[in-house]
Amino acid sequence: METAKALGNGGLAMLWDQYVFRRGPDANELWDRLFERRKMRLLYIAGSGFDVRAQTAMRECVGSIRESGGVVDEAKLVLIEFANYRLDDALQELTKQNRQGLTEVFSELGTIETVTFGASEDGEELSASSALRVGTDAVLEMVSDQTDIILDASSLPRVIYLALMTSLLHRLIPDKDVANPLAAGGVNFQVLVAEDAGLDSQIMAEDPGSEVVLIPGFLGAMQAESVQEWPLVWFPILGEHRINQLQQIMKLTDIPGEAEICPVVPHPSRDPRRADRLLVEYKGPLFDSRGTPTTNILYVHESQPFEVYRQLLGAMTRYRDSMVVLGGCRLVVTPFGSKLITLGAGLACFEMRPSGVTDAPYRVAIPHAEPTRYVVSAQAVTSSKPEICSLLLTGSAYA
Amino acid sequence: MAYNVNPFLERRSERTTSDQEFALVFSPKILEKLSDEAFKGGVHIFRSAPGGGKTTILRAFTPSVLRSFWRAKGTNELRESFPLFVEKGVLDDQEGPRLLGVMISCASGYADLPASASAIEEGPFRALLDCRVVLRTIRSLGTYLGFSSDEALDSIQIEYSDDARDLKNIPAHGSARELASWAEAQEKRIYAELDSFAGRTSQTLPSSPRFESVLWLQAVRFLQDGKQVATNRLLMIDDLQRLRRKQRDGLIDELTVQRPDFPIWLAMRTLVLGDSLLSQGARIGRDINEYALEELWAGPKGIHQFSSFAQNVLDRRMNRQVTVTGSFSQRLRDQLDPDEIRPFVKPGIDAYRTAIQPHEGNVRYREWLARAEKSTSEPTLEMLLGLFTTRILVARDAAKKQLSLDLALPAEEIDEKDTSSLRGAAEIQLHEELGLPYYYGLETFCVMASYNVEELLSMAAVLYDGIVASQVLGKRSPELSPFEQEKLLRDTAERRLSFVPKQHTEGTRAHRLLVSIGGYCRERTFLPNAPYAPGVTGIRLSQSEMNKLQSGTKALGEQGELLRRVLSECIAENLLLQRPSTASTAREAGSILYLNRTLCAHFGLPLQMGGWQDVSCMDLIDWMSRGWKPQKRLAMGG
Repeated sequence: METAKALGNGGLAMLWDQYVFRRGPDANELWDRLFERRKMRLLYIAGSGFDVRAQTAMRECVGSIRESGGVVDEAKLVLIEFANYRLDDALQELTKQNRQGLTEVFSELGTIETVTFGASEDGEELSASSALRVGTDAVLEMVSDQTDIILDASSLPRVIYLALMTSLLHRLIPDKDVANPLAAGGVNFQVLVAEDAGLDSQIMAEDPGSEVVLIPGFLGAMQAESVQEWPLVWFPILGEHRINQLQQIMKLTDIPGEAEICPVVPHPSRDPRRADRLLVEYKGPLFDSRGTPTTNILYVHESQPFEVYRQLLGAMTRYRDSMVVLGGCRLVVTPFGSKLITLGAGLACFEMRPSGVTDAPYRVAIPHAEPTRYVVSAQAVTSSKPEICSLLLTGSAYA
Repeated sequence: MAYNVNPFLERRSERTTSDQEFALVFSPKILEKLSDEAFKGGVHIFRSAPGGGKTTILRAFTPSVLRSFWRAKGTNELRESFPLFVEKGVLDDQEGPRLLGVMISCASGYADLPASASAIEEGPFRALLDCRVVLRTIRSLGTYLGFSSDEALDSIQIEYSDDARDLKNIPAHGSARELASWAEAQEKRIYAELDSFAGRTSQTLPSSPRFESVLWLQAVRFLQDGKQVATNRLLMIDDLQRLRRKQRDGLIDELTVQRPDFPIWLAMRTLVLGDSLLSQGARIGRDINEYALEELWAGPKGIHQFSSFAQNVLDRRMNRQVTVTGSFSQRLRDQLDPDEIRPFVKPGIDAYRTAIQPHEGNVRYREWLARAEKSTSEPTLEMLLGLFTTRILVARDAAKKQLSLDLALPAEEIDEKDTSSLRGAAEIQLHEELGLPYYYGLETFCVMASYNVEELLSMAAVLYDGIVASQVLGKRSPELSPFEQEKLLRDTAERRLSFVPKQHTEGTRAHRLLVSIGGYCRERTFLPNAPYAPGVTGIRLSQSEMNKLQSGTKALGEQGELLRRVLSECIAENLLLQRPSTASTAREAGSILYLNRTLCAHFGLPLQMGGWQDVSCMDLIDWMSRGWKPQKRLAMGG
C-alpha cells in the first residue's frame, strides 16, 4: 500500500511517522484496494444528528465495499443519538431524515443499533464527563472480533468523536511500545470526515453547557491534586465563533495566569487571512487579558491532520522535556478548529498520554465546553457538497 | 509572561494572578464586613453569584497569600489590609502567618466519580476528598512554615489526640512526608480508574463511609523541633455548586453533624428557588452560619459601602499600571458641563410645552405653570428637571378622577411633592426623551455592577480602554465625559445581554425572558404620570406563584419546570437579583426579581431598586416562550 511520508520531527519517534490519509476520489481508491475481495466483519459508527454529510460518507464507503467485491460476513452500524441538544424544528426534521437515510443505506450490509449519549439510565444526576464516558463505554462494548472499524466523525460533536477515536485506539493499541503497534492485530481502523469548511463556518454553537467536559483518559491533569502545582501549557486550537466556549473553559478550569499559552491557528489555509482573523477574534481573552507572546503561536496545516499531529506532538514533547526540571508539567489541548485539525490534535494527545498508572512527570488533558444548541439553516446543510477524507490509523497498511 | 495591557481584564480571585500580585490588589474592605463569628468553630457558608467575591475571600486566607501579605506589609498597597489581618489573628507582625488555611476546590472531578463504583453511597467521593484534604494540608503547612521544598517536610513530626482513634481510612503516620506520600498514592489509585480510557471493566474504587478528614484535621498535631506549630486552622472548600446534588447535600450534612471545633468555610453559588441548604434538625446560627455576600452590602448604607470597596479595588488595579496617572474616579467626570447641557435646553422646553398644552387654560395649574415658564430663562439641568417634574405632577393631578374645586394650586406645593423618587423619574424621562446622559459617574458605575466585583471589573476594563484611547488621541480633557462614559457603559450592557445565549445553558430562553421583562418594565416606567417613580425595574412573584413554581411539574407542567430552570440560572448568574418581599395587609409575601443593574442601563431604565410589578408564572412562561408584546402603545418615548 502506498503511504505518504511525514516530514520527520527532529528525530522524534512517532507512531504515525508513516501514515495513510486520502481525500476526495483518492479515498475511494483507498477503499477499493482495502476492501478488495476480502472477507470482513465491519463496525461502522456514525452520528444520527442533523448533519446529513454523514449520509454522503456512508454512501461512498458502502458503494466502495460493494464495487470492490468485499465479502461482508457481519456488519453493524452504531447510530449515535444525542439527548442534550436543542434544535429548531427544521433541524429536528433533518435529524429524523438523516437517521432514516443512514439506516436505509446501511441496511444492505447489516444490522443497526442505537446508542444515546447524555442520557442517564436510572435518572441519576450525571456530569457531562460521566455521560460522555457512559456513552463511549456503550459503543466500545460492541467492539469484538471485527476486521474493520469505521468511525464517521462527520455528524458527531467533537467531544464524542475524540472520545471514541482515542478509546478505540487504546483498545487496538494497548501498548504503544511494542514493535509495530499500528498493525493492531490487522484491524483496520479508519476515521472518515465529510469536510465542507463553508458549512462548518455557518454552524453556530450557542448555549454552552455549564460544565467542562473532559475526554475519558484525559482528565487527570486538570483534576488530580498531586499535579496541580506543575506548570501548565495550554494549546487552544482556534476556530471561528468559539470565543464564548474558550472563555467558559478559562473560567471553569482556572487556567493559571502563569500558564504558557500556545494558540494554534490554521496556516496554510485556503483563505490566507484566516489565521489573522482568528487572532483578532481571540485578541481579548488570549492577548489583552493574558498577554500571550505572539512568538508562542503555532501554525498548523488546515486540511492535513497528520501535519497537525506532527506539529502538536513536537511542541508538546519539547515543553515536556524543558519542564522536567520543574518537577513535571501539564499539557492541555482545547480543540475548536475544524474536524481534520481536531483529529490531528486527538492523535497527538493519544500518543503523548503516559500509559497506565504512571509516575511520568507529565499529564495530558482535553477539556471542552460543549454547546447545547446548534443554529444553522437547514437549506445550507442539505445543499452541502462535502469532500470525503479518510484517515487510516491502524491495520494491514502498517503491518 | 508578557505584561498585562489592561489591568482590569484579569479576574482577581482565581489562580490567574500570582500570590504576590493578589496580595497587592486585594481590597481589605471586604474583611471589614466579615463577621468575627466566621472565625469560630463550625460550618460557615458563603454564597454569591459568580464574581461576587467568594474565592477572593477564601484565597486571602491561604498560607502563600498570607505570607505575601506579611512580606509586603510595609508597602502602600498593604497599609490598610495588614492591620485587619492582625486584628483577625491570622497574621502576626513579627512571626508571619498564624492561621493554617487549607483550600480545596470541588471543581476537581468529584462530580465525575461514578455513583455506582462502590457499595457505600458516595464512598469514593469521601475517600477522594479526604486524601486531598490531607495532601493540601501538608502542602499548606510547608508554605505556612516557609519551606521551599517538599524535602523540608521531613522535619515535621505528627502526633494525634485521642479523637484520632476513630480514624479508619486515614493512616496514623508519624511523619508529614510519609502521610503526603500516602495521600498521593490514594489519589493515584482513584485516578487510575477515573482517568482511564473508555471501554475497560470498572474496578472498585477506594471508598469511605464518612468524611474523616475533618476529624483528622481536628486531631492531628504538627511538631517542628518538638514544638507544636499551626494550631490555628481553617478548612475552606470552594465551588460546592460543582458537586452533584447528592454529594453536596451529603457533605454539608455530615460536616454539620460532626460539629467541628475549627471553622470550615464552604463557598457556593447563590441558592435559588427552593434549594434546601440545611439537613433536618440543623439550624441557622447554631450549626451553620450563612453569609450572602451581596447582602453584606445591602444595608441602608450598602451602596455607599460597596462604592468605597469598589473604588478601593479599582485604584489598586490602577496602581498596577503606568499608562494612566491618577485614580480611577479622577478620570470619570460626574457632572455635565453647561456647554453640554445647552443643546438640550430648547428640545426640553418644547417637550414640556407640548405635554402641558392641554392644561394651559386650567386655572388649577396656573401658578405651577407660571413658575415653570419663569424658570426657562436659566439654561441649566436644574431648570430641565424642574420642568419635567412639573409635567409629571400635572399629569398625576389630572389623572385623579375625583371632583376638585378649581382653585389654583400653590406653587410651593411642587416643592413639597418634589421627592428624590420624583426627581429620579424626571431624570430618566430626560434621558429617554432627549438623550441627556444618565449612566455616568463613579457612583452610577458602581451601582451598575450590582454588588458584583467581576461585573465591576469588566465595565472598568472598557472604561479604562476609553481613558487610554482619549489619552492617545490627545484629547484636551483628561477625563471621560458623561457622554463618553454612557456610550461605553451602554455598549457593555448591550454586550452583556447579547452574550446570554452564548454563555448560559438556558441562554436563549433566558435572553427572551430578560428582554420581555425589560420591555414590560419600560412600559410601566415611561407613563406620563410616572406612577412607580423613579421606575419599574423588577417583577414580583407572590408566595402562591412561587409555590406553583417549586411544585415541579405538578402545577404548571413541563413549561413550569423549564421556567424554574431558566429563572434559577438567571438568578445564579446575577442576571436577576432576588429579594424577599414581605407581606402587607393588601398582599401576600413573595419574591421580587429585579433586573441586573447593567441590564437596566441597556433597557434605559433607572438604577434605583424599588418599583416592581406583580406577575404570574403563566405570564413568565409566555414571555419565555414567545416574548412579551406591549399591551398598548407607549405613551412616551420609545
